[in-house]
Amino acid sequence: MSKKDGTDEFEPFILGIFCNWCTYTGADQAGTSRMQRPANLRIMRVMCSGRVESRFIIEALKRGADGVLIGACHIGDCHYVSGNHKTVRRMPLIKEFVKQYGFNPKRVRLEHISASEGAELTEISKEFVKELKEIGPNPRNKK
Amino acid sequence: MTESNPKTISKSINPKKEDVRIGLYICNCGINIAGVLQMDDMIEFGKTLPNVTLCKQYKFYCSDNGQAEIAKDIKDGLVNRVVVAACSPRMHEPTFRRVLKENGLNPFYFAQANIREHATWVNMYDHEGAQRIAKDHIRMQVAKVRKLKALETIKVKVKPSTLIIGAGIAGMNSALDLADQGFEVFLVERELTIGGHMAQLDKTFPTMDCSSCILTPKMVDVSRNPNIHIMAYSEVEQVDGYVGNFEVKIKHKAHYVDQNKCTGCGACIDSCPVICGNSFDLNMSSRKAIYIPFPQAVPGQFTIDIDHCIKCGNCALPNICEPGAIIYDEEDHYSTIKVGTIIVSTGYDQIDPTNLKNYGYGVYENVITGLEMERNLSSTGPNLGKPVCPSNGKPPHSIAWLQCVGSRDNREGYHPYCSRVCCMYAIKQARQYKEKHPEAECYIFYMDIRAFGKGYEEFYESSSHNFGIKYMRGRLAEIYQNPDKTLLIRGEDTFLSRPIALTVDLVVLSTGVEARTDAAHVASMLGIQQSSDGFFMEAHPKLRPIDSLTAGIFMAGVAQGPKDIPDAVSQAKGAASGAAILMAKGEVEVDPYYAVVQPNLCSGCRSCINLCPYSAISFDDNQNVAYINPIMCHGCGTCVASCPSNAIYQNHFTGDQLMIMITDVLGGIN
Amino acid sequence: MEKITPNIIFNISNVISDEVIKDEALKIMRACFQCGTCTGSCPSGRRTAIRTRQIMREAVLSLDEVLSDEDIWLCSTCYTCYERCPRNIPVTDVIIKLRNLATQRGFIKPAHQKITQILADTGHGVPLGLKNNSDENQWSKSRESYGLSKIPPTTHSHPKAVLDIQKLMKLTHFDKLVKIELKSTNEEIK
Repeated sequence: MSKKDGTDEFEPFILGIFCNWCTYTGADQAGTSRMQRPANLRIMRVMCSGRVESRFIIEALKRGADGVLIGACHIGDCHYVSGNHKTVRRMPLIKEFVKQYGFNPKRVRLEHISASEGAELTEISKEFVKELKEIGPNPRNKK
Repeated sequence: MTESNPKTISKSINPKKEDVRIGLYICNCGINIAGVLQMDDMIEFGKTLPNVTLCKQYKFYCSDNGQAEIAKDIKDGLVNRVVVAACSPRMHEPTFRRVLKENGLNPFYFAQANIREHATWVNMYDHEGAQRIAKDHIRMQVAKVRKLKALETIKVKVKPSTLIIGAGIAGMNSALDLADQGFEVFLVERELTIGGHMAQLDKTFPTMDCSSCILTPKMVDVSRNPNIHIMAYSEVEQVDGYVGNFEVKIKHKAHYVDQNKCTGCGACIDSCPVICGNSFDLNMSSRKAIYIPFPQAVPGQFTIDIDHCIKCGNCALPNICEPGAIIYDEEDHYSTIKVGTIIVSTGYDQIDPTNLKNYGYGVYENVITGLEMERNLSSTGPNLGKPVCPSNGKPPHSIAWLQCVGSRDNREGYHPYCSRVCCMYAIKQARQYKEKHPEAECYIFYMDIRAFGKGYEEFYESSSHNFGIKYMRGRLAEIYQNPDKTLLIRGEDTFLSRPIALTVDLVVLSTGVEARTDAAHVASMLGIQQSSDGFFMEAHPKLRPIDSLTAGIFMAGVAQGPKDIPDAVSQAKGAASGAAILMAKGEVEVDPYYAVVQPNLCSGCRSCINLCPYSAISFDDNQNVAYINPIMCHGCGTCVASCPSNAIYQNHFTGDQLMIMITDVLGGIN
Repeated sequence: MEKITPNIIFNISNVISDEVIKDEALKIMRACFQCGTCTGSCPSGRRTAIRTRQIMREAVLSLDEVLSDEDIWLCSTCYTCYERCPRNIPVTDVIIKLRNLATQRGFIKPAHQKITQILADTGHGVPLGLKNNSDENQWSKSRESYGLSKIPPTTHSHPKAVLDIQKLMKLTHFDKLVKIELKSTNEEIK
């Protein structure tokens, strides 16, 4: 696992899968406004959170990610009318899969963050990092 | 509808696996990136990534020289895939794709790693952390680019017609500009008349032009233009489609007066026994239940205010309404139009100061808002241009304006932003009053005077120098009413650091502007975004301040953010130009991110069909497989994620492409 | 219900500012936007309590205390603020005008009153030390070295002109304004 400053403090690896229209743009806004957040979040872009397949999440956890953050538009604001509704509906099933694979379901989060909510994204990532530090490293990384 | 059939893309233009040569270009972005990251280490790291044959850095890859460097490497055959690690792809993806295209490479063999907005700018002090994130972002994009496929953009025809929502000064200017270029314009206005808030204003700063004198001729121009269809008293109900081909459902509210028969003669007014508040004068005057908002209204036909009408039948008598235009049982009706582009110019609401209890608006008669003062001053207003105190109908001797009411206020319910117009309108109103009543005392309580526009500072200077308006720096703390209805105001003169208490006859709260209460509804109906201030969000705050994030939809006026009349008009002309560019070209290129069903894998379960919000998926009964119409598909990928047979892929976001990003980035951390 | 007393912390009026701006050239005083260049530039203010910006503010709001404020007498009339004012306000002239108004209201410092007394007595605010040093003083020698008369051609050489000065003071009521006594009798002035 990545170590910061050579110390032993555990730095969670978070994979963010963000929709292009809201959360990815919100992350851009956080950057433009220079909102500082812990260096734990890697961001990949999909056009809509509806594109997020359960296997992406499972695969990320299997390979050692400590947390997965799905970023979607607020309900009603989806650029594709209702893609985010489908993601919301899919989440309980995904959490069930995650549990069956032996992971803490809290490692997976769905957050609704709009294009102007860079501050919210910053807060949520701080909070998620804190929570993951409490949960501890992904068991697959214990060697 | 399309000129390039997406099915015809030949697989042969995909290079063979072993032939993938990736050029990785890490931009310094001045010091934005290089000031945080160890660039030498980044280059060394880049060279270790699979298929990267070339890894370079440069100060600004978006510059001409930077682009030329990438172009040269492509032309020299050194690379056939490109990854640029720089700013957000939302910023420069089109720039670099063009470089690829111009140099004979498919533009979709490109990926951009966001190491500025998502790394160096959010970890400005944690350099190691930023380095770590930047490396991971590069790793993901290099992985993705290895799997990318050549694609061709879809070309979509753009209908030469525009929907403009809101017919204030911004919407009217956009409408005229487009109509004069020969495009068909549908100008939808929620109120009975076009003109917007500007029709309620008396004079305009800093030239003191009479607002109606410059507005009403425009309104007439709009009504006479054969290319403009005014749809007053109408609201947009539903918007479907996409750039070039929007389908819009419009609700036309019932007037209860046949608009084709009504001649606007006004004989009905006298016959109507109902007297109710005139909303155009902010209920400071009254009108009948059958009315036009103001004499110069366009269109000029009458309407019955059905909430107040008692249906006595007087106006319907044949000797009153000779054309027989009255229809008490008229119902709302709907129409559908097809347009190529949309301009949103829905304007603003005035901030309601009622909850600012320390100012007593709504409790003390002589505390009024800026817009009420505007009607009070207007020669067409309730007092015919002679402002009075509401309590006694007499002209006030002393007036205090209080700036930043509801603006620059971070508390819940108010707004952190500056409303940009209140300083100037307060100065203008004070000067108007001083012109007529030189002996009057006019105080403006302010924190900063923001006189930013052309001629504004001069106007401000002259108001104190020549008209003796007193500027008091300090926000009023509280207002109390005396038994004679005069007002005691308390605050501080921050220049002298002394508390201050004054008695004045009238207080004008210079209320700011805020997004329409239904802005969120409009945003989700159109598929556009709101900024944190509630106004509609522009695609880029500096370089695309008029475009929304959704192709084909533009914004004009205060709907996008507070602005004064000249700025609103400028933006309206910009929006008209943005729409005209698309329509004059006649077609637009759309990213081909549509989803495709692979018939050999499709089990025919039909589960995708109901998921598609655009009805783009149909079922082929002969082959028993689903089929996705690439033109109707908007490319969200929801069907892809839910296909139990993995039979659907989304161009540029295939399962392979996304999966390898995940496996590669995580493979690297153990 | 009683009318709430404003419990006035200070009275804003137009009395003083109207007086000041009777002089059309000073009307622009009202355009003061309190930038503070004057206070920052004031060489007197670096060592004394004069705060030019505050004086201007009090003058615009016509606060009575500006006239009784001793600080208005601390200006050395160097005209630096006048030259630097971005709104072209003749700041020094405004202060001089305020001193005039202060004097009219009786706000005059004993030292200044004494000077006016000396002016009335000798025709000079700072008279030459004739009595103490007689012919041998340094200044008269210097004058002679430049080819000038030993004593300047002012009231010092024409003591009778002092009476004319006092006559002017009488006619303009300057003596009453600054409360000084003219030693010559009324008869003599006539």
